[in-house]
Amino acid sequence: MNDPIVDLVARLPRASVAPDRARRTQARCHRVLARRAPVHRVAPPLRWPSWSPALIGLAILYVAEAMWTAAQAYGIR
Amino acid sequence: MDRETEARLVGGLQAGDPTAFDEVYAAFNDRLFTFLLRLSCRRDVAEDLVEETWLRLVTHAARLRSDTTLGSWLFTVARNLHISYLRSRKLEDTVSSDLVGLWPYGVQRSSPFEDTAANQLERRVERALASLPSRSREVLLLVAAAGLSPTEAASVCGISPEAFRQRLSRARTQLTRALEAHTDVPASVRCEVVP
Repeated sequence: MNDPIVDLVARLPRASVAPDRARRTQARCHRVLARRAPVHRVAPPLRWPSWSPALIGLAILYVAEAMWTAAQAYGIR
Repeated sequence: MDRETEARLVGGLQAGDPTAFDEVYAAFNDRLFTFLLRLSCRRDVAEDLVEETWLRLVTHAARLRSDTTLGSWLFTVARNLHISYLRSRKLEDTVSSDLVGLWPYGVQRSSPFEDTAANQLERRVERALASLPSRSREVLLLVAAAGLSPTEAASVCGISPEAFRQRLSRARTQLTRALEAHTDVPASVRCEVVP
């Protein structure tokens, strides 16, 4: 901006934070960033073992048989 | 800072990259501190507020939008923190400037004479600036010390560019009057500012 009054203010010396305070601030900010930075974990892909459908089938048969037996024991069937 | 660099740094901050933070810190810390120092006229307050500004940035880094303009974002937070500080302390414009505390570290001058002459002008400007109402001081500082464009500075203040232009014009007039009240102002400055 070409303005003599603004230039007068712009030419004022720039100030700096005391070096030890600046270091402390940066360290605090780094800690905050480290706390919330995403952790990249490599999760194994979900895959059904080849024998699991057979196992599920057997489990269903077992539960069905147990319910059938229970129904007979209570005289429902 | 060009848009490409800024987008890269924003991406780094979103990912929690400390190197990106250090780059942003190096680019803006002195400007932020100078802005807050001249706004509050107190070194201890400015140091606290600038630290809080950086902590706000890292706390909100993951939620930054990819097109964030870092300068505007940081100066908006710094300005809001200063307003909160004024409200909490009920100071408003009654603060007196601690001119000794305003002097920065390691200003290099070529000779004692130039040093004295420059310091006299700087002191006058510092004193005149400190005597302005904080609203006027902040608009001058945003464009002069922070180096923001008038449009960016208007968004920092939460007003339209036209309203900002009017506020800046009023601030310039107030500063000119304050400079004249304190002592001589360079003639070139004085005649160009008179409406």
